[in-house]
Amino acid sequence: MSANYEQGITLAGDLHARPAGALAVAAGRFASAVSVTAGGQTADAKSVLGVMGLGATSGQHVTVSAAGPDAPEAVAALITILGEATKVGGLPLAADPKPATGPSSGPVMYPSTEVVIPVMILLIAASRRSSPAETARPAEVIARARRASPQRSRKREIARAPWFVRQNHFFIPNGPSCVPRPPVSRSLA
Amino acid sequence: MTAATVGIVLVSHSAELAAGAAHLAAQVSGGTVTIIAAGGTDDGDLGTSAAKVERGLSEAESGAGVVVLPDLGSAVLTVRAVLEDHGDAQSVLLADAPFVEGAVAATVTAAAGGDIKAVAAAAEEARHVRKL
Repeated sequence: MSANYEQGITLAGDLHARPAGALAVAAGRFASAVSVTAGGQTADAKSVLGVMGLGATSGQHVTVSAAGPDAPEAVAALITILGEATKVGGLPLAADPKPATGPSSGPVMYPSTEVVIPVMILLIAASRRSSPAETARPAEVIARARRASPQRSRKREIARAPWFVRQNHFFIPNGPSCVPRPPVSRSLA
Repeated sequence: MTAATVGIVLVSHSAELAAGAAHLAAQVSGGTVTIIAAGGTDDGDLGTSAAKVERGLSEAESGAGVVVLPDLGSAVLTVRAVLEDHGDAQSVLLADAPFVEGAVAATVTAAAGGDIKAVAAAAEEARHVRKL
């Protein structure tokens, strides 16, 4: 009933992951047992990892063998794939999969320095309690700080800042408008 | 092939790792299988999210069942917690497999029309395939 069929081909390119995947997908659709032999090693053609593990390269001779009810068709199909898929550009790129829908997992951004610096100056002013008028009218302080900010030297700003501000490097006068949050180390939960 | 194919859900502590493995598996298998990347916590940090796993299971299901691959031990806890509420244990299998190799092997087997048991077995066999 079933017969063994075998055919060889010389590879036009390396048997990388994508050609190996195409080969294994095609082999899996046949009922016959199908194997690929290269360089003295044999792998189950239905196992993509086994086929990749052969490490078959351009110019190498590869043999496809099949035993089962649809063995001739299986050998013919796999020889065609080995001929086409290992050529450069022989396989079209597949569409990309999508992630599970849900909350955005993009990087979290700090607000721009235009907001951060005046707000920090307001906090500094409030913490120093140098002028009751300033703490009473924050909007005016922010506006003044925003006007004054470009002329103010970074050094002076840092020197005037309380220790916790200096410690945390909140001053980013010439930085980009958005600064990615620094990596947070946490246990893998 | 008109029959539904088995869907794959990749559960990783890292959103980038899950997405990268899904991308790789899709390219190797020809892009015909639904692969859902469920990586990271809900706010994008390292960790796993039961909500993402749950959504992944429903998005990957097209009638032939779903095989779930976790990356590290505690991802298994999250998946099991979701499966306890999921009800239909027949339609979801959790595969004990190396993450990248298992994802590629499972997806290729699903693309070839393998059933849920064959797809889970392909992922688990990946443990025994040598690279060198």
